[in-house]
Amino acid sequence: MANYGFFLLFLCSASCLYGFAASLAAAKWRNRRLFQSARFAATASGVLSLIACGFVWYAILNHDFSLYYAYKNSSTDLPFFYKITAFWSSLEGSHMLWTVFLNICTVVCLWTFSKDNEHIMPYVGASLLVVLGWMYYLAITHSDIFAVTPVAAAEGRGMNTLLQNPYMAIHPPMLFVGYTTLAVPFAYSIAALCYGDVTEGWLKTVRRWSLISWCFLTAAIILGGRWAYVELGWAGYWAWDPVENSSFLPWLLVTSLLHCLLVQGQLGQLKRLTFVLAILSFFLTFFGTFITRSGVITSVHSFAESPIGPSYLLFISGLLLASSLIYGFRAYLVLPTDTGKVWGVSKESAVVVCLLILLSFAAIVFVGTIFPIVSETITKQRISIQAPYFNAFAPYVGFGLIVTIAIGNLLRYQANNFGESLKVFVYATVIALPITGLFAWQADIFDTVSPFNKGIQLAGVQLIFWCAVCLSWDLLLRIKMIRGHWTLFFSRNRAFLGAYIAHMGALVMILGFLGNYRGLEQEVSLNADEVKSVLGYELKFVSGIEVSKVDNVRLFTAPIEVSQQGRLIARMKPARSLYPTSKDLLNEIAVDGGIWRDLYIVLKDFDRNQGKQIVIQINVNPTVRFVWLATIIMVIGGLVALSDAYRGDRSRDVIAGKWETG
Amino acid sequence: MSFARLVIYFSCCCLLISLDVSGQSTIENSETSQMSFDDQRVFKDVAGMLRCPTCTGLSVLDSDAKFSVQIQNLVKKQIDQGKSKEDILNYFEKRYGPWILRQPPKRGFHIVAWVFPLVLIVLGPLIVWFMVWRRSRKSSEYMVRSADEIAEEFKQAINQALAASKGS
Repeated sequence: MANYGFFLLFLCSASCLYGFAASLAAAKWRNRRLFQSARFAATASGVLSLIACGFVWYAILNHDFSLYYAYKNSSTDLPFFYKITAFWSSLEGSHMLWTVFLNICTVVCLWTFSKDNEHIMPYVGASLLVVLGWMYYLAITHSDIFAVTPVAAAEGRGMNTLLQNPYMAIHPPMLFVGYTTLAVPFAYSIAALCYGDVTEGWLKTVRRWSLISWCFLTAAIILGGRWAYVELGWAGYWAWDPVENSSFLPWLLVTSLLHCLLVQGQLGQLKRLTFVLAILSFFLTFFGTFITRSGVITSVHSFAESPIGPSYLLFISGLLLASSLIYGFRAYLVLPTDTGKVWGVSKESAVVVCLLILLSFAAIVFVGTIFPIVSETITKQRISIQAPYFNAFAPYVGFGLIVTIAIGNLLRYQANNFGESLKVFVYATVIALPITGLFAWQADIFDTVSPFNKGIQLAGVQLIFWCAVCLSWDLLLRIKMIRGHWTLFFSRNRAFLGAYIAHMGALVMILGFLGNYRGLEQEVSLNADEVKSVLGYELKFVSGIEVSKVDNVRLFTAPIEVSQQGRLIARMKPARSLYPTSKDLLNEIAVDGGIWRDLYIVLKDFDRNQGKQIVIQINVNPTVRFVWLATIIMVIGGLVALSDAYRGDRSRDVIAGKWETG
Repeated sequence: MSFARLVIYFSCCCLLISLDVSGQSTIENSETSQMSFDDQRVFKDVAGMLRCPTCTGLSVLDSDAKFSVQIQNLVKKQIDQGKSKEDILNYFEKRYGPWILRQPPKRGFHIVAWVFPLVLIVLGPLIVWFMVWRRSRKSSEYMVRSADEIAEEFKQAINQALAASKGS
């Protein structure tokens, strides 16, 4: 079985290489048949890789532990759901999943192009297939999922216990969909550069794929955060560690890309910046993987020892070099529509400011992620860059973004003046004040101990509501402009509506982030049936530790009754769990609460003999649910924008190149 | 601990406790119970600035790893000895190297990490401004015009020609 799988991947690799060559030839001689064959090669490799995936699943589900990957990541007592997700619970599997998704994207992209893009499709095919070919090459050399053990073990080592969580099960596939859909804007950019211009269809396609990617990345990143929140037990969801940063960087870039496309669509400006952003966002998905996968982040030395590191480095530098060369030699051909443009006080200028902020933030995150490596190489001294460094800059970025969102949305394209918006800014400040007061009262902001933190929160909340009022005012202006025709508005302005929803979502998310300034934490020990008052809650540890068995896990649960002013508000069950494959006890965190605050209890320790005494850590985390809620709002915004029937742009019309033969 | 220091320390504690009477004053945990509110704040600051040696991305404060707990106890001990926040951080930096700190030290080559964002803030707008300026220069130099402008010029030329033909 494993040998067949390996052979299938080898075939995939070969057919992608063929597809690459055929696409190049099709581009050179403008031969339709060659391009057709490249498309079939991509499709064939997609089908073969899916069959290969089936082999891996078959081995895991049938406990065929002669397959080393199945042995390493699954066991007979694993629940069915986690047997399915065991496929991507380790390096080789996630590489495989990524590759398969990339292949699917390639196939979809090559079969569904609009008529006026036909002339650049061979270039698109070539750029996608060369990346794909390399991914398959890696899958059969350095990251071989079909490696076998000489003697099949009776029992596997089991899946990493931290990954046995529904959020972690769906986080990687969603992230990989987000990553791989970025390949299409990248390929279209390379193709447009090779060809020398963009068309209306180009913009439509790139916008669509970027939006899909944005939705998936947004959801995936926060799902990862939620996993950390409910699984790791340090009461937070974002730690700025390199793995998180490497998923956040493409998000920042694709967000910039979407805004850049907006200006390009409306005015035909910033075309070359669009290419740069599309290429960079795709590059950063690989860069992030390189950094986390090669071990370079832990130390420069572990990089040299990892087998996959050097070849990954070769690939990403090759990718960057090739893209830069193509850009350098071809970008001068792509001209803006209106070369005599004045960048006054208008929406497009605000978008440029927003791009500047987003890209600066991306640069800071990038530098913060790789600086330890650079510094170690130069000074021979190891340093760490963790959350405090990033948190030193993030609030300013947030501030800048909120102000830019508010002002930018109220400005108009090529207006060159503030128009009505100045009035709106003043009114919005006044309208936002009572909302801020109400929010601060509900969310306990006035209880914050440090006056500095309190001030920051109040200012932040006021700024956010100010921005929200500005945005809503803009929405009303739009509806007024269309003379209150709701149906017309919803059928023709869905891109605008989607942006409104997504921006509101972003504001809600920042509102949630502000809760980090007033989180409370305390550790306390409890005896059975004892009541203690902690952080404004009365906690009662009921009777003693309960031992139970769910699926493959033994649970030691400490039932706790939480009351406030004598009224029972929740029964919480923090627990520690023992997985068959691990010697250590894992935290099973209990989270309860509502939209305003989460009560978060971690069972830190318990009396092993009688189970009558426990030590727990209690966190009161305000407005964490705003973050989860905001994600949903943002993704809905993205989907609404995606449903927009795109109305075209004013970029130069290009007569599509004819096929010479075939 | 010198007498003067003790007085300052004590008065600081009194001041802080009098300033805010929050729920945090009723702590019964064995480890932290001996610490005053002020000390706890120092402890949280210090432990939040030290990295957990065995985890990725977590501070000593947030992690339960054995190594972290050892460091936590060391920090508590030093706070009891009356050391200031800077003293304790310096101690750890000397003992484990700057690696133990969660942000790079602001000296030597490491300062690049701190200067870079500031440079971005200054240079970013300058670069954007320069590009816009250069574009406007170039387009006026080479007489590059938009389609609308060209159409306008044609219209004017036609009108002129028409006027001229009518005049003759």
